[in-house]
Amino acid sequence: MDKKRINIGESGIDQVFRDGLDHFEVEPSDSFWSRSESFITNQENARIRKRLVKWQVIAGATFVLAVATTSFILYTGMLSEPAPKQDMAINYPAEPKVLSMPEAGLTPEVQLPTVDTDQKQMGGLVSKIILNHPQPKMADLQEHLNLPNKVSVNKNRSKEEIVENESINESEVLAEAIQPYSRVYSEKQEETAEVQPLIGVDNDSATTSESIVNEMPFEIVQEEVAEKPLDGDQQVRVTSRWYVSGKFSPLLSGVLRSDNKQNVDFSEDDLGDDGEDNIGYQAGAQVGYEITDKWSLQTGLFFKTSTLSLLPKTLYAQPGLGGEPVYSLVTSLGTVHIAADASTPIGDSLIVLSNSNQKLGFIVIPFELKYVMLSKRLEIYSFAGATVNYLIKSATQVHLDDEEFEDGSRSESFKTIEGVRKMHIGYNFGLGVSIKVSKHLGVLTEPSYSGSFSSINKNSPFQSRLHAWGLALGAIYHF
Amino acid sequence: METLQEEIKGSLAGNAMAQRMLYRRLAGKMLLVCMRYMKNKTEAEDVLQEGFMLVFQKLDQYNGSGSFEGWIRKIMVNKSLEHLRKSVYLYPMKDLSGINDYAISTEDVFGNIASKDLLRMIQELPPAYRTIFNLYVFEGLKHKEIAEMLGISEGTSKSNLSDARKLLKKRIQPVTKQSLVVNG
Repeated sequence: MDKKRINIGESGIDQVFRDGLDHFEVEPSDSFWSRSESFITNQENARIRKRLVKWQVIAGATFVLAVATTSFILYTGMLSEPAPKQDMAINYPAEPKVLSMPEAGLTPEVQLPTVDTDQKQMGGLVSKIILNHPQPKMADLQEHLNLPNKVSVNKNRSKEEIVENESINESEVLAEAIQPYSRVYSEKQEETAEVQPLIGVDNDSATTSESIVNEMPFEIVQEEVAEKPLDGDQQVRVTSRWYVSGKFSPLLSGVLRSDNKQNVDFSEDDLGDDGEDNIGYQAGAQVGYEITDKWSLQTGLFFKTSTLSLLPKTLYAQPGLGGEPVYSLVTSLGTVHIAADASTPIGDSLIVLSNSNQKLGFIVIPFELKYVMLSKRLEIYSFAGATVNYLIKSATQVHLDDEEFEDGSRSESFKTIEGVRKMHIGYNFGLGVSIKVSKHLGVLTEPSYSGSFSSINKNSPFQSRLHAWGLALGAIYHF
Repeated sequence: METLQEEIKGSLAGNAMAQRMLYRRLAGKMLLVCMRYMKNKTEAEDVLQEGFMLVFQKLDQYNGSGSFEGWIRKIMVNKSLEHLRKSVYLYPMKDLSGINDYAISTEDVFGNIASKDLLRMIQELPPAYRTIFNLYVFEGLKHKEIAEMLGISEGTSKSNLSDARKLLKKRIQPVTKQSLVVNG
């Protein structure tokens, strides 16, 4: 600034101030730097928490998917049909154990057929022994097949898969052994046509397949047919149309705000952004009725919490109804009045730190329509409907920063949020996957989205609608 | 961190050290912007704090085409106006006649103290005058733009600017005389 500039005219005043303040800086106070440091640290902590929450959600979803997939595989494996004959043959040892006649406990007069190369994979030798032995001894079988003393036989399993079990009897072992042949034998008998060699014989053997079959001294054990559900409409209903389910869902909630057009003095922009780490939950039970095989109606009772974290904000003391100084914290959910000391000057400010948050608790009653897209052991469905949300509790936890406080800050909790409606109408939709673990019981998982038709605020210059993403886990029981 | 670009990039990635450096680099300049609009340093620091929070939240929206300092400056101005709008009813516009004569230091009138005094003169203006003077002189807005921004008429904007100038001239005259004597 020089003398010429100071000797200003009417409009030259602008230039005086421009030049005078050009390149001028003001050093912030120490308290500003400490608050800045607090803000940066909080930001960093929030980022870490957010990253953790994200990974927790991913880990949870992966776990649910893994459990669901494993359950599905195990369940379908248990109920699948017996493997075809040729598949079963593969389960048998590729090189059957060739026993000598004494080893097999055979008498010399009984012709022991040898094994044809092509039939080795049928485990033929074992069966041949049985077929040709008029009274096979269990002890022989156990010894030569290296079976444990107590075994159970599953006709779908190979010798190696036979496991120890108390429910053993000889007939099961024998049935297992002759099963590949008995089935073919039955088929061939029905055909009564030219009998193809069932079991290969070498040129030196006097025993043909036909003769072996005809000499079979054992009762042919009929193959058990596993229960196989029919597809779609052919499926035979074994349960009632009524069902109940219990669910728990973590929620990632938030608020969608818009200006209330009737109030032009205040913009929702004035509120600033809400925080992002808003984790809540919903838990409860549902009951449903299947109108058709595809469509169901369901309702229920849930408890739901919606959390909203508050970003740092400066509050100014304002005159309350009685003229006393109060700090009014205006949030997306409503207004919280924080009492100030009577001596606090109007206009004095304090900061709400970033670990402040608000929580709303609702009783939620949904009315939903469910549509089943795939109805097998694994059921895939969608659902949508309206919800009635009753507010049963609200709380605001604030962390106030003021140099006048003894420790520089204090935490307070408030149960009243002015302007929140007691009830609002919302909606809900999502997809679901359930897997039957028994005839009546299934486990389910449901990613869903819920929102509000109506604002949760009343008499407010802005409208706020709650929304949330959820991933429910639960169980469903068909009566 | 060496350059502004590196600090911006680091802040975008959530690097706390980069954010601190960005604070250090710009806090002094931006505090001046806020102080021109607010009535005291405490309020200005509150606004500055919130402004920086907004800067870090919206940093990904800075496209890099213009001056970063200019971008932050706009945020600080908007934050200041937001606070003024909220506190207008708390701080009713002072009557022009109610302002005391401004005593200004004669020391080093061409240095920083003079700049501080100039700043104090602006701060002592009634909120409406102060806001319009700032927007017109420092932000380079036209009366039409100011009128739209503040929801007033262009005539009011012009009138308030004229009054602000008169007030400032009245206050700066004694300094001019004093400084002429000192430097004479």
